[in-house]
Amino acid sequence: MSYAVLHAADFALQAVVRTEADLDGKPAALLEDRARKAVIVQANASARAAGVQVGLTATQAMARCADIVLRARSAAAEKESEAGLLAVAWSLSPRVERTAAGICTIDLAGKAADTHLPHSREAVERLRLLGLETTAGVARTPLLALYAARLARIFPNVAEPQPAPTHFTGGNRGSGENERKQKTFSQFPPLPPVKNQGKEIVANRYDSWSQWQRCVKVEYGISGLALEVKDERGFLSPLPLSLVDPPPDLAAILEGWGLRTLGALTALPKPEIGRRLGQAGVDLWERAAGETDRPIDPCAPGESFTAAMELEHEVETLEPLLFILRRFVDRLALQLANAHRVAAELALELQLVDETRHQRGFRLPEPTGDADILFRALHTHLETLRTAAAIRGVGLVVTPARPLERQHGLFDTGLRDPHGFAETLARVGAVVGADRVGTPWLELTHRPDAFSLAKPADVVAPVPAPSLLPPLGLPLRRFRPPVEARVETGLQGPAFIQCRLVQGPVRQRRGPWRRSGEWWKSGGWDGEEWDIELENGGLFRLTRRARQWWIEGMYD
Amino acid sequence: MSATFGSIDESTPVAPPLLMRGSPESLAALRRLLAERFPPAAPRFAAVLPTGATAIDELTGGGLPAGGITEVVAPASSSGGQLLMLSLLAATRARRARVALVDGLDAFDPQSHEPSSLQHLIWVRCRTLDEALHAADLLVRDANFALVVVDLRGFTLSALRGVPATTWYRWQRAVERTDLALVVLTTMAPFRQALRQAQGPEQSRGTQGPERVEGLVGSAQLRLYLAGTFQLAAFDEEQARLAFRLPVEVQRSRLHEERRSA
Repeated sequence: MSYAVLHAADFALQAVVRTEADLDGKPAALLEDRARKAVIVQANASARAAGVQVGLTATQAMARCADIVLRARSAAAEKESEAGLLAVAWSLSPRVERTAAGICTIDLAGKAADTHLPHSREAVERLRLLGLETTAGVARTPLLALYAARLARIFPNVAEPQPAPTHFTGGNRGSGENERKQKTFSQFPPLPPVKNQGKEIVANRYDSWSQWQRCVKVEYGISGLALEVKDERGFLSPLPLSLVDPPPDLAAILEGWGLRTLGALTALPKPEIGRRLGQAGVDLWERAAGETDRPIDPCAPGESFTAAMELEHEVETLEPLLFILRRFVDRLALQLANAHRVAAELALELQLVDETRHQRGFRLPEPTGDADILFRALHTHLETLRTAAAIRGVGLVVTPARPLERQHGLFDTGLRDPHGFAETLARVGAVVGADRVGTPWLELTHRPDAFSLAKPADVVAPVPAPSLLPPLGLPLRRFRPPVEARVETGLQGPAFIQCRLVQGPVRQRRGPWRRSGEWWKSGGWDGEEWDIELENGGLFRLTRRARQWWIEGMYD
Repeated sequence: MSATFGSIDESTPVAPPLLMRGSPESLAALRRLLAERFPPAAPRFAAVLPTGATAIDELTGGGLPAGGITEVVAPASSSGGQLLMLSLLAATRARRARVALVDGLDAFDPQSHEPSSLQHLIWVRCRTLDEALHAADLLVRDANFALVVVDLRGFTLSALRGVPATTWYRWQRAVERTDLALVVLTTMAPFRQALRQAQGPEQSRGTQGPERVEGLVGSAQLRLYLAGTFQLAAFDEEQARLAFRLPVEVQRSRLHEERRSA
């Protein structure tokens, strides 16, 4: 049995920070305003390095770090981040427990043992792409895995650039790295010798980083690491008692006894601890020995693929909106992949500060789970979007579909790049208007210039048999709208025309052809039509409606 | 030698004395060597797109260059530009290839075509020159099209000359590594007739036939000139026959040079 725990420290703060593009790397802290004076409840590493601590007021924090960014908690942001955390967890195993905010426990039963650590490290890296800095611990029990995940924080910050090669296990690094780890490890209290009946039973066996390191296996990635517990007793022994969360009264008693490490506690006989400290003492001893085990409470992945967020600050430009949508799309694409589904449609909703909403649906040319393609569809639309007011909320709903399984025929001429095609048409539509791009379809009427534009067909059908009567004459090049003309008529019809485009005597003419239709409707047409050839050259279609002459187009 | 041409091997038989002598043989040898070592970036028009208009296909050795720009200059009214487009649509429809038409002045008339011959067409109805150029810029980069026709007829000469030359070369770069044939139709006919109108009817009656018009697309590998004007009797002929005898001249062709060098 083996479990993995994904742990995002300062989860509420990370959830807020990951929704804003320009906060990455900046000192940031989270304010809790339930008390009379808002105090800082979480601070990131940059803020802590500048001296900002939990419990400070906003003014005190700003006095210590002028650049600090203070944010309030956001339930929507936390929900979105938790969805991301769980989506990544479900990519490892279907049995996932939502343990606490920013913590999820994964049952790795059924996976090959040698994949536990690499897959956990990949999960950490995937979460990093989603904007969450996490650590992963792998161990025999959920509790040990949680300890490992929490302890992985003391390893060098993997968000910093790593020297090549990027993939190696702990212990292969140079002496400089070891010194650094030693320094980090020394943040824990020193390991005092513990004596029992005059005999030293723990004599600083693990007083150095390199010795303790042998009890764990670390796998580094480009942007994260995972820690696996190999020797449980050796792993736990040098760790401080505070790790297992002793009740305050017990912690005071143990402090009085001079016990500061888990190893010191577990060196004492468990029945004796029970006799002196009761059941709470036994529980603490078992936790310190890594003996506590529990079944996990798995949760089921949701059936809906939605993301929504109310924004703390109104958005007026494209970049912040795209940043949030990219987070949404990345997470939803992962969820779709976990469910073996792809996206068939997207529905975007923007809530504006003037209480109106902008809604837009995107039917994808071919269902896909590719986050880049989904994002491009949104990006293309938003590039040219102008809203009447700033945006205060954004929502995205994905309609899932089964992956398309279609074998193209040998002579099919489907699109080479369906998504690229849809994107090109969307971009062209943004330039000329969405209603001015498409495949022309003739309407079933004799009304002049009657057509509509339709969505292009996915596959161009074979050419039907040619008509028995081959088409005659030249095609028309239309003037839209028709050009008003002044026409002098003779006995045979139009003799001279003058308009803003052409003028001159008419050499030859054919007509008139009278036409009318839909006279029972308001949009009926009625008139006479002539085909003329000018002496200057040029064949034109001349029409007369309500005693006014028009040039409808040029035969070309 | 190695200091000048870093990638050429020291043991290459081409030696500095050849260069110094400056004889035609040595220059030819150098050219051959450079051609072998540095394959030319210029495209080879091995593929062509048949137009369906026999007159053009015979003149161009099979059709329009795929991966290149063809400019069609239609200087006069009723010179057959739309007929050429009809032939191109029919030819591409037979191959079930996608076609985009960037219609600069929204002049295409679907009713002049068989409904089944338009299924492969994406018609972009523009209103201004900027719209047409922008739309064409996007379409020439799409791998799904076999043919993009940019119809810029009807815009004023000054507007067309105002298009930066870099636009044409950018389009050329976009299509040269693909099998897309790009056709740009240009003409100034309606406006020259309007000019005649301003000059007065007497002067306009004295002008017979189209004036010679130079092309505008500097990067065009092929420039076709529609030299004639159809008359009213054309209405009695089949479209296929009209396309067969479409009066066309080749004003510029870089196809043969490219094919020879290939």
